[in-house]
Amino acid sequence: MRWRVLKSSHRPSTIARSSGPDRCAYGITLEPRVNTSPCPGFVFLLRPRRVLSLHPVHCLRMTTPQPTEFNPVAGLAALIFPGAGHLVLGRTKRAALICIGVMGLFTFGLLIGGIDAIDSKNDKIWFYAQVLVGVPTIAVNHVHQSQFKAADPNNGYLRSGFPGEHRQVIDGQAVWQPLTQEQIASGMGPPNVPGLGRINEIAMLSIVLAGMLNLIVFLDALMPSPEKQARPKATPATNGGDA
Amino acid sequence: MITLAYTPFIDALPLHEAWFLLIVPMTIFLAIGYKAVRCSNMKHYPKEVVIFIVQILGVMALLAIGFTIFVNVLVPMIAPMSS
Repeated sequence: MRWRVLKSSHRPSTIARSSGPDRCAYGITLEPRVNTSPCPGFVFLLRPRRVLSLHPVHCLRMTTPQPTEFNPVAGLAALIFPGAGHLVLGRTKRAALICIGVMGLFTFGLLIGGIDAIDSKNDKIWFYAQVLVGVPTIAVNHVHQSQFKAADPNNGYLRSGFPGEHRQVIDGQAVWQPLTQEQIASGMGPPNVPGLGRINEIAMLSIVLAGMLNLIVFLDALMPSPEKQARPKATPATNGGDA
Repeated sequence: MITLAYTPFIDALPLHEAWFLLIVPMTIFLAIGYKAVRCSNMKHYPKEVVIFIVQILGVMALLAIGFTIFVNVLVPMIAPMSS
């Protein structure tokens, strides 16, 4: 049987220093231990580590190995959908929080700026950052380009509609057609109202922030940092034994 | 028939008078997502998120106050305009 000594310091490199090779292993946490140092962070500078018991009855919980190696599958998953990378790593809580954060920014941008906040044709530079969110940006942009844009009747340029126009499909191609006064009075218009000024800027910025945040998430999924567990409470030992 | 009624996620919201308040939800979502990655111990996650939100909003407010003073007080002192 192999043991991993309970971590109780801020210096992870010293976790197993005082344990023999037959007592140190990855995956088993040994409790309890007593830290008599007045400053827990410097316990290893003051005195050698002391483990009071190594009996199997004190093995209170099993921990799973932490995924800390280069993981291209998790990185790819993070690029496809926010939080999917950490889900692949088995970090469910972090994945859910990442999804809330990134998709919250994304949804908020769409809510205030409308579908016009994502436009790979007219706002190309912004789109390069927005596409880092992954599939949601690509899907919304595809819908925007195919369902809400049409060709200008004069020059054939694909654009959003102006007030007083409506989108009409003629021979398989969408074209903007002018509306009559009666049609305008009846409430007809283009399929969407684009955001203007600050609202459009803030909406695009929100989705860009979502993309940049997902870039950080992608890097963390690709090269995961070790997870720091919550420090368990030390319980007083009943049987002795130094490591 | 397509009408001009507001459709969520399709049309833009008319929030031109309150644009500066939009930073609050953006900051909250940003803090939730960022701290989910950078927080080493999830036990301290809620506290770190709140601190991050307060830091961003506080610095933004200070910047706003600073630029307001600069534009409304310092610039007229440096380059007074004849009325």
